[in-house]
Amino acid sequence: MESFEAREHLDIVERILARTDQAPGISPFPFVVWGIAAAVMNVVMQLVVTQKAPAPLLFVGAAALLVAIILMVFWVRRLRGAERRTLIDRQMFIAFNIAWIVAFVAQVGAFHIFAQWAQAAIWSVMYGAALIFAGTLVRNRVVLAGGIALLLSIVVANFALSYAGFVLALGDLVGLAGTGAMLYAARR
Amino acid sequence: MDELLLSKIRLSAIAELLQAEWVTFGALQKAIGATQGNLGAHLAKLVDAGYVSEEKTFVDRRPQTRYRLTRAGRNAFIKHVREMQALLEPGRAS
Repeated sequence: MESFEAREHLDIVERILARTDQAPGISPFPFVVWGIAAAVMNVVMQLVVTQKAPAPLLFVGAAALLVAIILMVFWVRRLRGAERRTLIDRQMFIAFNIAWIVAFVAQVGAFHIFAQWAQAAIWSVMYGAALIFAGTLVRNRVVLAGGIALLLSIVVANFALSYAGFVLALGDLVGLAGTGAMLYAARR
Repeated sequence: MDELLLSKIRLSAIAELLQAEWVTFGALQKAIGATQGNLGAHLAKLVDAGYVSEEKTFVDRRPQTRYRLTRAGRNAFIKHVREMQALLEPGRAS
């Protein structure tokens, strides 16, 4: 191989790597869906716990969870038609699934340990960690800030127990749904 | 130098796969700009060499072929790029 050919081939590689390394397209959709669903559940729980609303209102929270799961099933089905999956897509998918599974096991299997508001806070902890991981991985400050907002909401809720549900809901709206909205805005 | 990677199309295909878990044939064709037959032949050589793996699947009842870079392919690409860079180092004649 002549050196001019080597230069030409290296230029091709450089161009391809620069293009494929462009800010990975984090999908904002799951952030918005889970942010709103989690906020609805926390607000409902707060209203029921403080007896400002009747217990059957909890069904609204369950409905929000169900709608979120259905939307995610459709979203994952749509992803199957994608033309490529990056390594970062895969790492993020793994991180968020681990967060979901750990939070689910803690909530359903350890409800004596994670009692009362800890049931809601465990989701904020896991998703906060996943967002901070993802934000660091893809060098995205919005995602990183979303994770920090989620973790901050737990700290604030700890010192405002009477309004813990509202505080955690605000964390979900800012940290998850807000992050999703900002990612949508950045795409335009 | 890796003889297999001296082709621009095969080198481009490997570079396209480097940061991906998988890429479809269609996406590779769009990115590289090769004809279907030409790209297919080049990818077959990479598959035969064990640099790339091929997976045939169905998405919405339509066939889809996905390609993944293997560890051998990644190592070969890195070695090849290093050798090309070395060729360009000052004091090295072609």
